[in-house]
Amino acid sequence: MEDNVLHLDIWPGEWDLPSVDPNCLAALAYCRFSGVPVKIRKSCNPWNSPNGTFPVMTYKNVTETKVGNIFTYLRKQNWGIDSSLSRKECADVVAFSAMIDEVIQPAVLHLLWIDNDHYSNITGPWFTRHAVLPYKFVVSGRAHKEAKRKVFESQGTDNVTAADVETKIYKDAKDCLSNISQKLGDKNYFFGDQPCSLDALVFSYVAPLLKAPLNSNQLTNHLRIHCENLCFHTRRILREFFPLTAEEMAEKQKEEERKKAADSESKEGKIRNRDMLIAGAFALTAMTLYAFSSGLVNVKIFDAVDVEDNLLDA
Amino acid sequence: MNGNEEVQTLHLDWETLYSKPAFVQRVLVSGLKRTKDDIITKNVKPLLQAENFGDIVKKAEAVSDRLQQLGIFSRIKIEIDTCKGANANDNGYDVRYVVQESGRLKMGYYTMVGQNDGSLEFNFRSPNVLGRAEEVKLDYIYGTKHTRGFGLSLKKPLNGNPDTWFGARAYREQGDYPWSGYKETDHGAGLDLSFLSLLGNHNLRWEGVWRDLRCLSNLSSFRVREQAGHSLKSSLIHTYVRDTRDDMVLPTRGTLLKMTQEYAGIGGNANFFKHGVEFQANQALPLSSVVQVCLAGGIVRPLRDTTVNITDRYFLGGPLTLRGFNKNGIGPHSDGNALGGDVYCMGGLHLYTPLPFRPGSGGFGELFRSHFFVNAGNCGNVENFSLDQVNKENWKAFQNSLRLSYGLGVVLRLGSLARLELNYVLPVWKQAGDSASPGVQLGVGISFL
Amino acid sequence: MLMEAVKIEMGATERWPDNVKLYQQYQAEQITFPDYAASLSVKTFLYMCGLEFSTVPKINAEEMSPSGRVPFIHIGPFLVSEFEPIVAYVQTRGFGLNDDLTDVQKSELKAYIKLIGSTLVNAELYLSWLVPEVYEKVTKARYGAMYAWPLNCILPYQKFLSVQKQLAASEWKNKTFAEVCEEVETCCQALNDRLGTQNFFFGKKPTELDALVFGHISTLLTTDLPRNEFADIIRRYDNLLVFLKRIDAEYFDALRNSY
Repeated sequence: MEDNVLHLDIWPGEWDLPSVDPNCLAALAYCRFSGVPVKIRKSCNPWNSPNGTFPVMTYKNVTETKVGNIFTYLRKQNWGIDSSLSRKECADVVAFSAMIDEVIQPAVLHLLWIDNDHYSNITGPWFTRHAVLPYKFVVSGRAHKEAKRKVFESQGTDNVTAADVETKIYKDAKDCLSNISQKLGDKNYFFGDQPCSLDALVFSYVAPLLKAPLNSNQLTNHLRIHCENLCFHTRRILREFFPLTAEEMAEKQKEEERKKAADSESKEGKIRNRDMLIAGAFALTAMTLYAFSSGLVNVKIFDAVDVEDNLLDA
Repeated sequence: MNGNEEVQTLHLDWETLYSKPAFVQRVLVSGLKRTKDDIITKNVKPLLQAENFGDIVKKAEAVSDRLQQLGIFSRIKIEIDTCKGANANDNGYDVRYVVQESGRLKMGYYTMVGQNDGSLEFNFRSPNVLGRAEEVKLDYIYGTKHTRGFGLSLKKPLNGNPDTWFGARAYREQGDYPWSGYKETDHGAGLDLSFLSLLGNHNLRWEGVWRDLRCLSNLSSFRVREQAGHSLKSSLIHTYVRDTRDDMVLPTRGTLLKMTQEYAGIGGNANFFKHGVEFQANQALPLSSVVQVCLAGGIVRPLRDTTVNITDRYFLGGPLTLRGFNKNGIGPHSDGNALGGDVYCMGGLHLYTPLPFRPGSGGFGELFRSHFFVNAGNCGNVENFSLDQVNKENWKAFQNSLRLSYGLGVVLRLGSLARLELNYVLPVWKQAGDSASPGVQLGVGISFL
Repeated sequence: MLMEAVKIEMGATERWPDNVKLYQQYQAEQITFPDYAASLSVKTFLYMCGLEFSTVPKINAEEMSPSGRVPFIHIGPFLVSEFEPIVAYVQTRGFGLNDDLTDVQKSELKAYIKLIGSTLVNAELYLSWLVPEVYEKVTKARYGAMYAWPLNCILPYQKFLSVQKQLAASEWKNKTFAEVCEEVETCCQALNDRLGTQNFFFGKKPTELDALVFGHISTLLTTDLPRNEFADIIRRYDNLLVFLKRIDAEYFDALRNSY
């Protein structure tokens, strides 16, 4: 491995996205925007990652895993894409980036990793299917836990419930999307015709909301109805910076055909599974009942009422 | 003494044996493994003072009861026989106890049922840790309304006497108080000393508790919200109980007197003095009916320049206390939350009779009673009320705001401690702000008046 | 941050009743400086709106608050806690400072408010709870000041754990103090550049952003702590210093004189 080439390891893509993970998308977009000579490796084995997931950026002896740190590092290496901005515009980038991290991130994390439908049908299975062996079993569970920690522990105190937090993060996120949409207006990118780090960040959260096969949800609906310019913005970036190569096109077509074939098969498989489950449950119940009725298992229950309670009750 | 016949024989001999001079020559206890000798010796001593056979039997029973009370034996059998052997005296008797020690670790679980809530307690108990009836107990409570509790307690009889014991307990408890709109988490420790006097049973307890109160929801009254937060109570509590009733659920005779004094003010920021009394008297009437009079009252006053926290105040009302009102539905309320009073009193008059036409008499029917009752009570704040200077106007207002309800219903005995009541009640005197529940009312619980 | 107005049901009430109260901990002995900064921001905002209120010090203000954070205001039957919900609530009552702004400006205003929330607030929490010197010498004593032993030891520790958790969730816990200073610097730089030489962030009139920045920056600048790195950073930004002086003169001098 040559040491003087910048490497970026990311989770592979799906659903017409270059990567399925928002953080990977952000790092990837920044690299593409700035034209950094970067070697991108799509990987499903986070063995070498210091925190067990992607993105991981390595250059010489430096390893960065957090999006903010990757941006800062690249900026310091003069691979910046914000250098053409005025000081005031730079300030705006800092402020909007902070708002996205503070408001959009928890909502997207909740939607992808805590919302039960998506976690157990989309995001969880995707990582379980793609990650290599020992990680197969841990990656999605860990991401779920991490998301819960980030969403609830940064917001919650003893006086508020989880339901309060959920209502609040979605409401805030919708407001925030509207604010970002206002800021973008009818420009191509946030500050003129060249994308900056803010474009990368916005793209990284909006793209999965639009492209991933999510159920109908308030964030995507809000985006489609009230923030059309953000949708165009994302499509523009996908078109201009992540065009599909001929290989990928062919792959995609093959994939689609395979999917069609698999669809009909999986339906049969599902029915088979269900039948087996029912049969198993029936056998288990029958055995348990037999065990009880024949006296193999004997359960005794003692009931009493505590006297202490009476004495202490003022 | 197992079969009927043997009892008969014993009975025939009784008259002659009763007055026959006799003494206990030897006391034998078999089956002891971990238990130390001295604790048994102390408890069997009274046997040696017996002067005739009747006395021996009576004392042997009493000793057996005391050993049972220590809670370290799972079974005790008494055998009395004439003394045999070389030194045997003509009037000498052997009393032999065959005991079986309880296991080192006992596990149990209880269910507790209250009004609209229930809980389950699991406990691990080691009854005889060091051989002198030292008990270590670990318990965990899990209930509805977010009730959770965890406690560790130690108990040791002093001088081998099961009536006099020393205890210590550390615990953590939490629960919701929906009628007042708050939830509470307690961490506490307590020391107990329990002893008998000529008057009855006393318990002296020091308790240090850190209470954390939080509003249950955003709908809680601001008056409750103001009291949220942390408080520390360090108090000395004296409880006196004298109970001569023949039953705890449906007594037919006897009285109960219970008094509690609590002085909170030894450190901490909850400073108050609290005094409560409960009295109950039962009198059997012809036709298996029983008349019962209950009286209860209490007062809590702040010490120094403080106020009494909601968690230390008195609440009144409910299907087993002042019937015809919702749980804690009497007294000061704010936005539907009971704020509690610093003084309360209540009285009740019950007439218990067997069910009409006595179905299942002598068996199943004995679990049921019908009852007619009148309840009256009040709960409120009496400002500036002190023992030497009664503020007349407040006192009058308190009297004028008395609540009264009457009705009839059926009582079902649940085990030896709890009861279920299904009543038809009419609250006739009520005040604005009270949460009354006229008509049919169902109550389950272990504390009732 | 959490909780909007506790009971959102606008009745036919007067626009601003007389007995509006703001709850916070005791200022001289008890309040920790992140809470003080939050409280000062809200007060500055209400002064800027020209609304009357009285401050009520309460030992248990934090536990009373519907969101578990101070300050909160009690207005009629409503309880509203923390800066942003209070601002939003005051606006529904017909008072606001951002009516003249364009939509783009309003979105920028929101972004800068979140910048303060995610950077300065976390930095304040980090400084007061995770920097051992400050925690041991100042924060611990103040947080437990109004309680008897052993609560004066337990409660600060409990709060320490919860702040640690909160900062871990937002990835601030593992930052070094130098990194935290860098974040503060980035934030101040952005504020300073955005402010430029204007009177206020959005021109000639103050907005809630000015109140929020004033509350946090002036608290960091004036609180006497064992570590003064944050104050040193702020002193490097002239625009901000001029801005602080201006607001202080405009809204707090009059207040001081009226006593």
